[in-house]
Amino acid sequence: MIEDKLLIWKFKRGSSNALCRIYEKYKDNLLRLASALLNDSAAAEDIVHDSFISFAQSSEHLKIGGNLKSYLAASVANRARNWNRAKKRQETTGLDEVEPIVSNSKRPEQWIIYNEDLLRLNNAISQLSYQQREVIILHLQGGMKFRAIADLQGVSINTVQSRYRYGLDKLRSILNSEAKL
Amino acid sequence: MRPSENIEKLIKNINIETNAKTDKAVLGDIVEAFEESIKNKSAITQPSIWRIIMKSKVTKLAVAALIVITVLIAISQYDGSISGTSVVWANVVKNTEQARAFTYRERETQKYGGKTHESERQCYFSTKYGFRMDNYKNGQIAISTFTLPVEKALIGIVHPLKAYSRKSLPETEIAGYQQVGPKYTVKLFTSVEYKELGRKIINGVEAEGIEVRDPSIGRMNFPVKSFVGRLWVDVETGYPVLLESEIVGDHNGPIEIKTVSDDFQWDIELDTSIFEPNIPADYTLMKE
Repeated sequence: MIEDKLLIWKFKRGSSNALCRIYEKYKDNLLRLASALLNDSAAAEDIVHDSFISFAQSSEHLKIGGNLKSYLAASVANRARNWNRAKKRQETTGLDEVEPIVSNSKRPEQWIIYNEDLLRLNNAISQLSYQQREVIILHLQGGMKFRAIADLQGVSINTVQSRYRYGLDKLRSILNSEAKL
Repeated sequence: MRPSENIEKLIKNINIETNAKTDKAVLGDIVEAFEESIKNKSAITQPSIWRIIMKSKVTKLAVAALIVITVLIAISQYDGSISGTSVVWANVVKNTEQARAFTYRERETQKYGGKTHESERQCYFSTKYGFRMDNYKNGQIAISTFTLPVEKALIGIVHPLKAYSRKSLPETEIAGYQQVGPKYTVKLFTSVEYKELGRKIINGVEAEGIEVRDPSIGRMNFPVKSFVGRLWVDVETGYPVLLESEIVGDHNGPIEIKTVSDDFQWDIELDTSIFEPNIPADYTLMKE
């Protein structure tokens, strides 16, 4: 925790080394989080890329109330939710073009290298409601407290805890049924 | 994957691999965006921690990864002998050498990477109690360092982080702190070829100065292209009133460092309380 405080302090004072360290420290976690929230590798990669770009541009006015990991996780979650809404809108309207919510950045190759465990878990998680998925992923992978997730989702902490409990039950059921096949 | 496993543990521990080439490309985009945003910032960009933490035998405190050796510490490590000094300058060396306690202010301006950074330090030295340096940013205290020979400890306090570090001061380095900053700078400047600058009034005091331009003096952690140092001494008391240095070098790009030490109080009584760190109870110990 103290390392993060020092990194933020240095980052806000113009240290690109601090930014690189933050990237190295949290990129895997954020990619895993975005990938589980969206079950779409290209969108997950774009969202994490854009979240880091936005973070890099925010050094002057950055204010982090809690911890850095939760801050970055919340940033990715917000973008993921917007992407999800835009996708639904696209499906509803049948339009090919919707307002772009992620950059069209061109990367040389795919960023996330999926393994079997990750694919199976992501597929199982994708069968949960988006709200349940968000609570479980932000709590377990983003390290966010239920209170912070409640603030992010604009619901009570009891609702968040219910979503977490029911989501885990459903996930356990999906994985168990997979194992029986 | 075994579904019977604790589902929470499973989600927490799932691994992800990334393409190293893409990692590098994305990081390049991010750093570019960062540097672009920094360029567009106002000229009041704050200097980073590395400019306000010294590293030397005197203040070797592991409170940050990026450390620069400032000119006065760098030159204090020079092991030159005193030769060719005039009678007046020999007295100056003797006066400073014998000073049991003194205080001074040090201001530094760095031009590096297209930006200018300024920092200020207030220093306290005592042969008996040790050395204390308070680093200020925008008038607010940022970092304090204490070299305490009696306790054999090096303590660094990072106030904005409410954190501190504590290291033992090796026996071999206890003597080193006695040769801190201006005390040794005077010895050094008078040990090489210098040009006499004559006299001028500095803060109402008539002072006499010398200038040195020996690049070997300005040793830094980057190649030094030029070094200029000036020492001004109170004609009446024989104590330094102003020390200036200018270093131009290359540190992955041009770098200029100007340091001014002034507001000296020589051979005074300093209270022991000045050298007590008094770390607030809510500060956290930083582990190395």
